[in-house]
Amino acid sequence: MIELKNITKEYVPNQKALDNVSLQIKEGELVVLKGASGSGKSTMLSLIAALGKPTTGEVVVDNKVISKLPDNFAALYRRENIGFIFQKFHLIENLSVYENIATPLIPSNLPPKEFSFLVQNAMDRFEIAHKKNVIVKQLSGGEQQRVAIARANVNNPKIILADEPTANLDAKLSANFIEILRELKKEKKTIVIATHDPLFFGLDFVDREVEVKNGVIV
Amino acid sequence: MSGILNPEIIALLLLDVVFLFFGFIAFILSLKIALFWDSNATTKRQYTLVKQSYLGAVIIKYILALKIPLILFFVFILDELSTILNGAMCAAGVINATPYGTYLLVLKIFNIYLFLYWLYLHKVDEANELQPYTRIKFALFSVLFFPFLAEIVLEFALFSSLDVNTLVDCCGTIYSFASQSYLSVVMRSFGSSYLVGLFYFLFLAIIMSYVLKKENLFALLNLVFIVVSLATLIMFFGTYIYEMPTHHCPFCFLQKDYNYVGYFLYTFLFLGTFHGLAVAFVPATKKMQQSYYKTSLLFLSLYVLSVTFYVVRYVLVNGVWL
Amino acid sequence: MKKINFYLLEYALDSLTRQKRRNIFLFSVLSFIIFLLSSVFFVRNSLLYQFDDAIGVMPDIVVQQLEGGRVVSVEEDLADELLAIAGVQDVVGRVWGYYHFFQANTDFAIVGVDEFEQNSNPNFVKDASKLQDDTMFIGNGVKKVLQKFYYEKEFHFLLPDATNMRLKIAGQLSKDSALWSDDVMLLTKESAKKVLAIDDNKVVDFALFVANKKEIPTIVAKIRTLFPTAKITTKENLFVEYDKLLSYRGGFFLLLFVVTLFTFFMIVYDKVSGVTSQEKSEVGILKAIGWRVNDILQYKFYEAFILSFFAYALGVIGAMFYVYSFDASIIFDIFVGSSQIKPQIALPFVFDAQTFFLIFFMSVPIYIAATIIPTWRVATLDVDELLR
Repeated sequence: MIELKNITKEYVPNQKALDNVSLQIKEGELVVLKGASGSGKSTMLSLIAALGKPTTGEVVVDNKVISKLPDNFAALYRRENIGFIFQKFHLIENLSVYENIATPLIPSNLPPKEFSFLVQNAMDRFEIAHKKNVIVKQLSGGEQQRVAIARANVNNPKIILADEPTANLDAKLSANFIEILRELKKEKKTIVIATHDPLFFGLDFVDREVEVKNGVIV
Repeated sequence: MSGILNPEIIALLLLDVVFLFFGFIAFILSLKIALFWDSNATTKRQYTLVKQSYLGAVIIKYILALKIPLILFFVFILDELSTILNGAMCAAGVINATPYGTYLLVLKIFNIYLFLYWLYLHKVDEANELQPYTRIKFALFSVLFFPFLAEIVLEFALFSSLDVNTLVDCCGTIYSFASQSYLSVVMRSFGSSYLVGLFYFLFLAIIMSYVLKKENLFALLNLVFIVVSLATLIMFFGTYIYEMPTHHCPFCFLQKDYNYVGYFLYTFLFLGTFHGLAVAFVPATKKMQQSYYKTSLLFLSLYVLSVTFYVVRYVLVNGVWL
Repeated sequence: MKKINFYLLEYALDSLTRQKRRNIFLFSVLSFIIFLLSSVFFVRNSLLYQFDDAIGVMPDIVVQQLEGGRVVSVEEDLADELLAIAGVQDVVGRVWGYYHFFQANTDFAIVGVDEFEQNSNPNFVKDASKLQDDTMFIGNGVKKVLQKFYYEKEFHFLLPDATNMRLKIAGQLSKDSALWSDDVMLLTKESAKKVLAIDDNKVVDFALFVANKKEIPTIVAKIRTLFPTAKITTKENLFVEYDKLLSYRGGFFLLLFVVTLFTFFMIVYDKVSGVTSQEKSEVGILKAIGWRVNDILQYKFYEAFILSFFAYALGVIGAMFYVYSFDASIIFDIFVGSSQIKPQIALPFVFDAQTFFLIFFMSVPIYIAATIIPTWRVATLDVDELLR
């Protein structure tokens, strides 16, 4: 399903964030990328999401070389296949919960019924519907994360990527997140999590743990 | 120079300056992209070019989006100016008041064909993951920039040389058979019934080439159709719109007296022939090509029906031909 | 054609309200500029319209004799020769001129009429029979000037031979025609000739009325052969001249306006370029969740279009109120001049679609143009860079 082939990534010339990394992830698999911050695991996520292009090597998703896609098509690929949960949530703070969750759908110009059904559905699933019209800035950290997860799932993507999802959560909320993850796993979604939170290590439903260090897989 | 202080003209010239500024930026970007584009490269230069290609496209779309309403505004203003210019009855007089008028108008229309063609090519290019036409479309714009530049220069020349104090010809003189213009020479040597026959024959031939799916023929016939339509409009159909056998003018029917019918006729003709040409020249998918065919036929039919309507109405009401 | 994406439109509208301070600033400046521009054009249109209206009662042809570029008086009898030209319906010898009222350092237009003459506008005077050789009617502006010098009931003309002539003020000229009659003193021909020092058997010029307007060029040609040195003005000439004058003044204003517009262009460019970090992160998020560069560009275009279009609407509507309800006193002066005698007139409402297009083309596309490059810059920044 997802395949990184001999990826090297340099943000600054001659400083390798990733060095000749190869990795295969099967459909429905849940993979935890673990490693310290700056190890290169976030870079791997952003390459899978086609947010950046590798310096050398290829990223193949569903037999399609997404690392070669022109920007517009990369965005289209993200819109249709990827739900990304960011470390800092990256919500648009001055918009309401509903508006935030709806943003990924806007460019597709769906019929109104379908549009509101999808948004409502995502809000219900991640239990944030009661705050529908609240401005995101006024929500607690846990609520903000639920909005972020709902947004990542609103267009029903095949792949869920999460970058340090528990970094801004207390223990209780982190445990909640694990439960949500379990649910998503049941739905046969392909999930990749980049984290250094030990909470994710040795979980029963995690298929594989991959350790990344200084830009290489150990 | 007194003409140049007319508010409408200043507005047009102001937009020309904006066009010139942005057009020039797009030209430079286009040149760079046409020369250095390499979709396989991962170099910094290619990366910058990708970003710049967005700017180029936005600018060209911006210019085109304004050019289309502006050409209508332009003709409208020429019509308005005709009340100020001694002797002119409609835009024809103004166009011919200076040596640049006719060229400018032809160039404007030509440029709209080209810009719209660019847009269609751009659409096809954008819809393809390999972006196979990026280089070509920007190479095209770097060439297209020159007629565009010429248009702006001519427009400045036209408006600065308009002299409201000299007497200009009215359309009656310009398009009459007696005068020695190219058009009238062509017309006399042909005779109108042959041309009108050719007009309808071409229309049928276009339909036939659609049925036979001969795309190159379809486009070629459309090209000829533009010329023949304009000629027959001036010498034959126009007279039925005016209901005056001697009135040969391609502008007067833009006026309110004739319900602005000219704007519709020209729009039909333009959309019809443009899509007719697009069938062969835009490297589109079969599905899109099919829609070009249909759009072309739709508007050409509308055009043919509209001009025929005037003739039929006149003959039915008056019982005679003009 | 592509459908309009209303979600995106709504999103853009919402985004405008999130950048309140900047957008309110841009919106008010643009509205004000459009307001000024529209006011100028509306006044111009109304004046043209009024002129068009007034020109209806004007003579079709005016024949004057010039000497050294000045109009000189001519024998009244020549009227018969003009009347003899085929197609001429009526000929009126006109008496008019200016009287310099030195106390106020201003000029009054003296117009002499006979009661039955065609060139006296029926609406000009309410009770024409009151006009006698010892009376006159005055325009509203004249009245105000005279009142300052306590001439309430009568006025003393100082004739060229240094004698005095006293005329009673019989009434006032109708306010509707103020643009033309404001500085007018309407006298009988008898007394007008005295004030202007014109011989009894002479007139200033001839006004010709023609039944069939299409014959005017032919008649002009005939007059030309009859009086080779005469200056012949047709009604059409007048209209063209007036149109040119107004367009010229409007155009001159417009040139100043273009400078303003350029400044505004720079302001917009600057303001839109100054992207806040909040905006940057928004664009970054949108790109990360699957918006294409084209979507971002379209969203920003919607924003610019909404802002400039509403500013346009507000400016134009504001100008309509200003011009047609409040008579646009300041703008009016650009066209009519602010002489001491200032016409007080209500401008007639004229709806002219062309003007709306003109104003539109001079505002909305210019604003959008100014946003193109800054918008493109933000839209093509890398997501990494935007989210950091």
